Amino acid sequence: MKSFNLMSKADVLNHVANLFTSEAGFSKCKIKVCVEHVFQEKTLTVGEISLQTSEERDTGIAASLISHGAFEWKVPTDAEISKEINNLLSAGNNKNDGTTREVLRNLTKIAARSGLLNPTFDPQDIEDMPFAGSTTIVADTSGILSGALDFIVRHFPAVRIKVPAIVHMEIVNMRDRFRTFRKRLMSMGESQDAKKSRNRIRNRLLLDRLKAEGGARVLLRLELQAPTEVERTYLLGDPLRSAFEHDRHSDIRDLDIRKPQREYADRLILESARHHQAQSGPKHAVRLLTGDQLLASMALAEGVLPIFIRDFQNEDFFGQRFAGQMFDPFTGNLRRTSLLAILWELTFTFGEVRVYRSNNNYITLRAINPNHPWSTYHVVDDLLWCCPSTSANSSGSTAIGSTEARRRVGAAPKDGHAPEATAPADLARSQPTRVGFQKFDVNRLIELILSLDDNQYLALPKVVDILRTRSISSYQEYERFLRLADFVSVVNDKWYSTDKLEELSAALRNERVWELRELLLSSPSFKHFKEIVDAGSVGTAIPTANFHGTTRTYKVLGEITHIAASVGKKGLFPTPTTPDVHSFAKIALERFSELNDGADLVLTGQWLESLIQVNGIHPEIARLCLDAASLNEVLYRSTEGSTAHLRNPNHNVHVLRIEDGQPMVKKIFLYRGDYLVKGKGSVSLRIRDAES
Amino acid sequence: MSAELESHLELSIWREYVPKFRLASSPLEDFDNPDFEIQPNVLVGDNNSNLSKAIYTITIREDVLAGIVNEDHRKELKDLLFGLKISDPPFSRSLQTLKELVLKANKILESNESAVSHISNQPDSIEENPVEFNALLALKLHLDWILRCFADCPKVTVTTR
Repeated sequence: MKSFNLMSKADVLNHVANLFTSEAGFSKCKIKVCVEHVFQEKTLTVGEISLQTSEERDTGIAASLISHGAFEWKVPTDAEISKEINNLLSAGNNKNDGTTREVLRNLTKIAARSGLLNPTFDPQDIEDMPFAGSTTIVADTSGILSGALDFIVRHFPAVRIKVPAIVHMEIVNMRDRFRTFRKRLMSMGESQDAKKSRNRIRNRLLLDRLKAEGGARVLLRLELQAPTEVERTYLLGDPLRSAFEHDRHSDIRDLDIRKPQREYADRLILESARHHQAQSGPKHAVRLLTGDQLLASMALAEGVLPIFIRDFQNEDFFGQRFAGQMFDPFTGNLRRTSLLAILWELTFTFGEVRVYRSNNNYITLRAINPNHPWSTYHVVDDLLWCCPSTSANSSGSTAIGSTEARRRVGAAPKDGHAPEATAPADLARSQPTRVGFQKFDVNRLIELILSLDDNQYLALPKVVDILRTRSISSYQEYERFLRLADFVSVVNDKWYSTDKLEELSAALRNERVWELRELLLSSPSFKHFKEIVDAGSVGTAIPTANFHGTTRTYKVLGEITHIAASVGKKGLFPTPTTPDVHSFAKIALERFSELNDGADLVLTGQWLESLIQVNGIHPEIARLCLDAASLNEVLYRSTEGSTAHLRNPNHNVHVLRIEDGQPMVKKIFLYRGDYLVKGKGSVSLRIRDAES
Repeated sequence: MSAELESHLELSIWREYVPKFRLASSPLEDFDNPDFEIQPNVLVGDNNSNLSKAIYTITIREDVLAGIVNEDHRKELKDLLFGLKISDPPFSRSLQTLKELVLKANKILESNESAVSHISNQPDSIEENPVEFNALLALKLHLDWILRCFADCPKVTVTTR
């Protein structure tokens, strides 16, 4: 029997990445969905996913591509998918056409809610976007289900969102109906008489499930995960009673909680908008987000401008290719949607999703595990039940941040002390022979190190807070770097500092670069990087082909530890030379003479880069040596240029500095003229031998 | 124009603008010219003026055609995409050109002649340092959305630069 475990997106990421990675490169995986009691254990294929890259292909890269949205989703045509749905429902029975159409519509809406497909708005509404003044948007149920509310929240975070209570009630009502149908279906017999009504109930269950669970997911996601605050509106008396509540009045038999009075519910939504409009100032715009034509025209007639969402057509989604990386419709910047966000949306809506490579190699995600009771933390932490297939499990690369890996680290700490830090050794052993590089922001790493040193341990949410990252793969990169170097041990989502981290923190706080370099050599990736640098020769750029998008991280680490420095777009050069004052004076004059074109002045950036390329001297070392040579009157230097030289912005080097008592990485611009002599414009430099 | 700017795309959608008031532009008085006579104000914004207002603009700071392998296809799409000049008459700048562009882009994507390309407009943060992306597919998806939203709207024109 398959065993399902509760997992977060971070935990599932590596399982999915493993699934995409094969010896021959990246495989394509199909996405299949299943609705319990409706598809009879069979699945519906909703598309094929391929990862997009031209680089070397391994699990680490796959995880990065998945979380950065570098994938393509090829959706089957509507004819293909309709045929498959009909087969699943009742072997091609034409009576299911209406249900099939609704399933297709809901699939399209899932893509819109996930951010892969932008909702279709009226030209008038797009003209008003992005909303110039303060704006409140009141959403109705169609606005929520169609993905339009997600679009608004995603692109206009300053807009105030109001979801009338009646909308919540409508969605809760649908969920209740879906559960009732499910119970009824489970209790039905297999007789021929029952078959007809069984089919009818099954179809209604399917449609209610797709709408209700999809809608509930949006409301919970916006409440718990999106930075936007969703407000509830004033109830205006007791409207719910008349809209839903069962009424036993002999003359009015239609009022039943399971049958909303649609027009009255619409009226209450409009009343919410009007109520808010009455309370707002004249410059505050109140708009009603709806895909319901009647509600939109009623709102227009009553002075509330609607934002009308048009229905998607089948050809807008089916038979098309979608990418997780799209242009933001208003800024033009690239916006990324993680594949996991789509898998989560599909799982909550359909109940079960399979990421499928082959019969033996697939991952199953479920929204609810019938063997375990539902808990609020499942929703708050956005967890799903996951069962990786045997092959994916046995590939051995359990996520470092996964629940299992955390369990392997050891028992929970006692008396607040960190347990024996056995994890890094274990992890180092479990690493493949090829050393993996990590990708992170060095400044944030320093912040994390200092905070861990101050607090001794940090809970995972605090770590994520310090790293200011929403991407799961990103914080795993920090974790991997620190754990493999034995700077932290991680137990039960708590990061404990080690003695080594205290030394590292002290080296950073005191700008002891040599000590920092020695401590960082505990990291296998940094050690490997240094070996690559040492293997190179002065004047030859370090090959970065094997860094797979982590070049920048190791460039910064190399520069702040003085083992390398970059020269514009020429690349990163080794800087192993630390000359004494007299040797430096000789070298400095040689470089100056070479660059001097007769004006007796050279650009400081040119001179510093020449020292990097010809002599392997880091700019920080050059600056110190120049100061010392000048002080000892071995050579005379003077600088010129009071205006900052803003050309050549790419010619920069990262250095470690202390600012306001905190160590941090600063980018210095070699040509700008504010580097070589502190407090003085030093765009150009003149050097003379003291003896001449 | 620098090579970097050349790869940028600014796409605007225009709609007929009917001013609520009569507009006028006053001629400058040329007192040094002895032949100067005050002319009646030149009216603009009347029914024959073809005024338009930009209702949607997007600036993409990427080379959207970077991933196209075939040079001929690349040139063909470039001519279509950047041929919608504001100086051209409105009837030659209809959304039909975008539809043609989407069809051609679709063919290129279907034949796998479009590869991923690196992002040129990289943000400074390392964490946000992006991987590669299929620029043509991203452009096509965006144009699909524009066509869905504006296709039925009368007197809509499009310009690019």
